Amino acid sequence: MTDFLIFYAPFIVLILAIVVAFWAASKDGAVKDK
Amino acid sequence: MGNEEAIFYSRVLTELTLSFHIIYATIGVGVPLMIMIAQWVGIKKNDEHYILLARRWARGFVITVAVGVVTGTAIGMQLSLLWPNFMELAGNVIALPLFLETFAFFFEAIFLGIYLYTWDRFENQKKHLLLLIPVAIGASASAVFITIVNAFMNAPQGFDVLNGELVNISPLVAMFNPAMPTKVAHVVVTAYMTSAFVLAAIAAFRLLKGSNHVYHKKALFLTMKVGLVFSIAAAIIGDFSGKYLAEYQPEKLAAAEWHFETEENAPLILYGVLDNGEVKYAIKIPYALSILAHSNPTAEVIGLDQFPEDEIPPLYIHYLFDIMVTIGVWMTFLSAAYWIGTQMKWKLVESKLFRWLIVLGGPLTMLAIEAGWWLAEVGRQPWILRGLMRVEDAATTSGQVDTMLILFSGLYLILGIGSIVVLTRMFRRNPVEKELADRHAEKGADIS
Repeated sequence: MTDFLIFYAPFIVLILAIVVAFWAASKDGAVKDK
Repeated sequence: MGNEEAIFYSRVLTELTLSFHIIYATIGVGVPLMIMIAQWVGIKKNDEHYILLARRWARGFVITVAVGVVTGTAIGMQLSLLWPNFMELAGNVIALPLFLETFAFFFEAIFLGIYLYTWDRFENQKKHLLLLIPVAIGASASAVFITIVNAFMNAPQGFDVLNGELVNISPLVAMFNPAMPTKVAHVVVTAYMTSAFVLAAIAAFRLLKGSNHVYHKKALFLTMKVGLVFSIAAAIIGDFSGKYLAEYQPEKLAAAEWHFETEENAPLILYGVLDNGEVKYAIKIPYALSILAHSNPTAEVIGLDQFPEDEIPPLYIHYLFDIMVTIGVWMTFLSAAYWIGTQMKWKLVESKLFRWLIVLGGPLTMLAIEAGWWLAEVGRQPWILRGLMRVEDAATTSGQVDTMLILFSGLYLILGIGSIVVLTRMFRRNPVEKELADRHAEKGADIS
């Protein structure tokens, strides 16, 4: 388990974060055009 | 100048160069992704504000890339000039990632040039966005390869030692060393996080300084959301880094956590001061160090008592760890509060105080980057190549290092002031409102 967290998990989290960032950015927010 | 002085000035010059370079390098790695997100959202929503956001960020990005190139070249030069014995020993091993880093940079630079010169040349914005993919990949890849060199210095492998030389070198084995995944992922994700919060600080500052344009509100909302995602990811990968250290560099973890005795159920020490070897005024979180190191509250964590005196890193790295973690957690909470506040329509997140906190968050996050790198480098001491070569054995014996220090300090001062002046003039002379009006006049469509 420790080997997985040290060798593979960092890249999995990094790629997931990039995907989630694109998804979150595209969600309609509270800022609307005036 | 004696050898002791040469070592001292070599350390100071390297630290100065890396500390200055990392500001521009961090922005250089993170901003392309932010530009890509903004342009993608602009295309998806058919919103000219996000497209303009990408356009203006790209303009500023070019200036930071230019300074990053100059300081990056200085580091490459100083590696050979200041640490010749290290390069003689390990140069053959790190040559591949060093070359790949340069290749990744050129890959980025070529497509950045094409990207910048083809605004408005494409009928379909999506085709223009495609040009940004190699820019973002190249920027992140250059960070990956240069961080691999640093990871190798922390966990060297992929060679045999024969008569004090490294032989039977396997460059790929050396590159994929145990320090690589956690270090590379943490560097890249914190570059994304820092870039998001620096851009958020600029947007919040514009809103505070009287421009109430919806463009800045969109910029702030976008960057704070993205910053929140990456700050959570940075914390998770930071936890993995703790597990790496416990397994492969226990002396670094023990020094950073002031963990003097090997014990089970190890507590995590936050803050505090060291007074004659005694920890005072600290917050002790029970079992937390055992959890950080081994995911098990009762696990044994190796303490500094297991290492010879001359192989223990300076204990002041604990303060650097505290600075890095405190700022990281603070920015996570600040961006989470902003995101929840905008959803719940809290007045707080629109207040001047909250926006000033966001403005402060930009330089604070950059300080966390600096503290993190100082922790990484000082925490590797006394080694330049862990277990194989000490810093003092790697340094030049030249008597001219102090002169070099003065010359490079002058160069960085000029570059620092010059880049700030150019960036502020660039955006002051062409404010958002004017640019939107110009584009509106060009297109004849109402976008403002």
